[in-house]
Amino acid sequence: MSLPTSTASPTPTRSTPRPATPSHRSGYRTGLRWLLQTHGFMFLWALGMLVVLVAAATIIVSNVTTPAGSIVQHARQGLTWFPFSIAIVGITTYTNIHIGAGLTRRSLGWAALTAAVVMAVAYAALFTLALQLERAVYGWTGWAHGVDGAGGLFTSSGQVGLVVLDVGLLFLAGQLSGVLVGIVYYRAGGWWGTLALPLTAGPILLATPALSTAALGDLGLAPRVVLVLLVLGAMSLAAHRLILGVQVRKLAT
Amino acid sequence: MSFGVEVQDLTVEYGRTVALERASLTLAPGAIHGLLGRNGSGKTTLLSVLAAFRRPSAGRVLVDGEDPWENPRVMAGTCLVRESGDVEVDTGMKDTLDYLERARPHFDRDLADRLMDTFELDPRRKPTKLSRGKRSAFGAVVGLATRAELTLFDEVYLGMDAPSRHAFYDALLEDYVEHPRTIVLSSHLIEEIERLLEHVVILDRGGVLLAEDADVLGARGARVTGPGPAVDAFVAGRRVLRREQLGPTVQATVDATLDDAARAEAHAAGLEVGPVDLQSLVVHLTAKEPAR
Repeated sequence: MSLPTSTASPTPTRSTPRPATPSHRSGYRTGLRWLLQTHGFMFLWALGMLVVLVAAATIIVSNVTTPAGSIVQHARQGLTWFPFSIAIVGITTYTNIHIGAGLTRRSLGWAALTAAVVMAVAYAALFTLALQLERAVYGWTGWAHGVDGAGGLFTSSGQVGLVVLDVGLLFLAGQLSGVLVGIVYYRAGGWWGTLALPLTAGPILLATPALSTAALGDLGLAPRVVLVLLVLGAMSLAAHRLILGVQVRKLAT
Repeated sequence: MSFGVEVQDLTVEYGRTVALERASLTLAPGAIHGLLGRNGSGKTTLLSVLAAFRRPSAGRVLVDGEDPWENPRVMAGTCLVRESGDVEVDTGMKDTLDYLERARPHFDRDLADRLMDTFELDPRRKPTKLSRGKRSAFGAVVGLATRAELTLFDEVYLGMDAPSRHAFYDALLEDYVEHPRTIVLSSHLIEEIERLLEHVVILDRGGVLLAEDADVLGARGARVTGPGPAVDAFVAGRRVLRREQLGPTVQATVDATLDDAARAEAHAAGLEVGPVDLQSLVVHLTAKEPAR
């Protein structure tokens, strides 16, 4: 019954020599690469949709009337919620893959947070660039490039700094919230994941209004930014802690 | 390049359900271990704890002398394959192999490619597009090519046809001989894997029923056949796992290692004594209601 090549030994349970020592850092790199590849692919989809939809809308509007407002500004919502949903799918899909490949939760947590920041910067850059390109086209054609400013920090597309700050924080909130929502659903299941949505997804709705709401009185922009960053930091900490304790779920078969 | 395992008083609870209760066992490095037991006996839970997929509720688990939970070295050296493995299902299998090549320190891509051919798996196809058997075969590829110091196969044969299963057993043996490591096979197809096993652990109702070398286990248990009164007289005082009667002839399966004297006594009484295969032993030992 036993194999002639058996090296079984009844007592020692520690091997020699030891294998090379993998680290949290190597797992972080592997995880970050996977997440950025996945999110990057979806970023290209977002880019494609933005180009097609904005171009189509511009052509249609300009054939009906003289455009007087930015079309790109309306992508602010889409570029918040589309990456948010991708972040949910990303963390819920990748958790099994990462830990199943022998990589630690700690490396997964840091990779997920880093990917969130990188993708928020990428989407903010995309939005800002698209808005400025549109502004240049409108200027060239003589159209007025107005923005309605509803819910946003900027009231003119020329306020590049405020545009970057506004969508940067908004998209970061969307990304971090996606990770948080995803990991809560993964750990706690559908009921608790849904009941926790006010806590896990709510910060998206508060991020930008907190920069301009009258409820905070005369508080300056810088303290308001710090306040939002503190909320986002708390979300990051919560997401990381939840990832650290995750128990790998059974496979869906 | 092998990890040993020490488990002491391991308890794992899922809410109110106790999957493992004070289970203790030792798995020596560099051997093929069989993890056997009925459905719900705690096999998958035990493997999940060893692979740091789950955290124990109580007790101690050491893999290569260290707690596996969030231990980068031990986790990198442990591979648990559940069916097709915890892999990406919506991209081609080639992408998964590329990923594992980066993530796993000893991943052998050449072996993976050869096994993909053996199991007739197209690397461009997605696991979701495969039959259950093919998905399981891909899990076998992942588990073998990872060459982890502790490789755990949890019912990896599910859905695989007989030729594929035997191709898996052959590939496992061949690679194990060239690259000895600790392998744990959890399976219900005991007859098929029996020849591979060097050590056997049987779980029952969340506890370790027995853990013995396969050779020792092979000598354990006997089937005694003959006239009813003679059989009953012979097995009196011994643990009878099963008793079957056909007319005047009775066959009793006993959990006992019969020495030469006992065998001579049986022959003198006109009884036939035969071995009990591992599968029968497991079936009888884990039966809900023993014969006596």
